[in-house]
Amino acid sequence: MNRYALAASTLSAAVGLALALQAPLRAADMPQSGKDAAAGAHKQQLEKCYGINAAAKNDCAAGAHSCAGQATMARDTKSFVLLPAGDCGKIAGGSVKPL
Amino acid sequence: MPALLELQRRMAALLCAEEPSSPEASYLTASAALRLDIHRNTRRSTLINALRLSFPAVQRLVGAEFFDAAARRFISAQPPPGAYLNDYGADFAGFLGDFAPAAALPYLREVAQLEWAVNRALHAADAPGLGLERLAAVAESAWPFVSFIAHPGLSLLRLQYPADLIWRAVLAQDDAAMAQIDPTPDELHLLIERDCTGVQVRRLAGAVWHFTAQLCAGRPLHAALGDRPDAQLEAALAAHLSAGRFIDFQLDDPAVRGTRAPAHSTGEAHS
Repeated sequence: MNRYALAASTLSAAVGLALALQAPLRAADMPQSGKDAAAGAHKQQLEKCYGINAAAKNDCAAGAHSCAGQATMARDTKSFVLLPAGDCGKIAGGSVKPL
Repeated sequence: MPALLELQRRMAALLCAEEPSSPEASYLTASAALRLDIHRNTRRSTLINALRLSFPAVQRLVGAEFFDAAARRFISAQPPPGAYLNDYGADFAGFLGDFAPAAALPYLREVAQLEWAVNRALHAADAPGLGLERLAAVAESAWPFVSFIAHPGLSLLRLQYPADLIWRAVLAQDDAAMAQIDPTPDELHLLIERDCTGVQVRRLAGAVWHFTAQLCAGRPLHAALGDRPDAQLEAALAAHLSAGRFIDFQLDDPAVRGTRAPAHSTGEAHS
C-alpha cells in the first residue's frame, strides 16, 4: 500500500471510528497510564488552584496589597536566596545540593 | 521640558529599573523619586504575582523567597510585551533552565513548561472541534492531503523528567506521592488540553505523540503517517477527531489547491 492509499484508508477508518466514539458518552479517548486515572481525584483541587488566576491578574483590588500599602519600603534587598527551599526536598532522590 | 515621547521613555526606564530611583542620578526631585518608587514597586509585585499564579508548582518546589528572587530577575530580563498578564511567562521555563541557582533541580524547567501548557489550555479561547461531516464530504482522492489546525489550547510536550507526576503531587501536597517519584530522566510524551471537564494532562505513547506533533504542525496526513500501517495511529487520529482537538482542516493537494480550500504550504514535496 503506498503512503497516499494508506493515508486515505487511515482517515476513512478514523472518521468512522470517531463517529462511533461520539455517539455514546465520550469514552476514554487516549491511552492513559493507570496513575493518570488515579490522579483524577485530585483534579478538582488542582484546578481550583489555577482557577483563581484570571481574577487576580486582572483586578488590582484582588491583589494582596493596596497600592499605598506597598509603599516605598520596597523589598529591594539584593540578598539572593541561593537554595531552593520548597517541596523539592520531598521528592525521592531529589537533591537541593549542586549535582 | 522634554517632549512627550522622551518623557515617556524616561518614565519607562525608571519604572523598569531594578534599583530605587536616585534623585541625583535621574534629575528627579527627592519627593518625585519616592512617589515613582511606589509605582515601580507596584508594577514589579504585580508581575511577580502574575508569575506566581501561573507557576504554582514551581513556587512550591523552590519556596516563595527563591521564586520571588528568580521572578524579579526574569522580569528585568524580559518585561511583559503586553498588558494581558495571562500571556506573560511563556519564556519563564527557559529562563529557569538557564538560571544557575536552580541548577540543583534539573526537572524545574520541565515542571514550568508543563505549568505554562496548563496555563495556555486554561486561557485559550473556546473553539468548537472540526465537524466530522465536513471531513467526510471531502473527495476521497484528497484525503491523503488533509492537514489539520490544532485547537489553540492544545500543547504537546516531550520531556525527560516525570514532570506530570511532580506537578500533581506538589499541587496536591501529597507527600507520599512525592516520595515515590523517581526523578531519573526518561522519555515522557504529554498532551495537554482543556476538555469539557477541565484541563487534562495525558501521557501518550512516543509514536502517537510524534504523529500528533506532525499533524499539529500542519503536515498533511500522508506525511505524518509515513509508509507503514499502524493501528495505534489510526486510533489516535479517531480519538483526536472525536475529542475536538482539531478545529479545522486544509487540503494540500496540488490538483485541488485553489479550488477547494485555501492553499496551505508545508514545504513538503510530493514524492
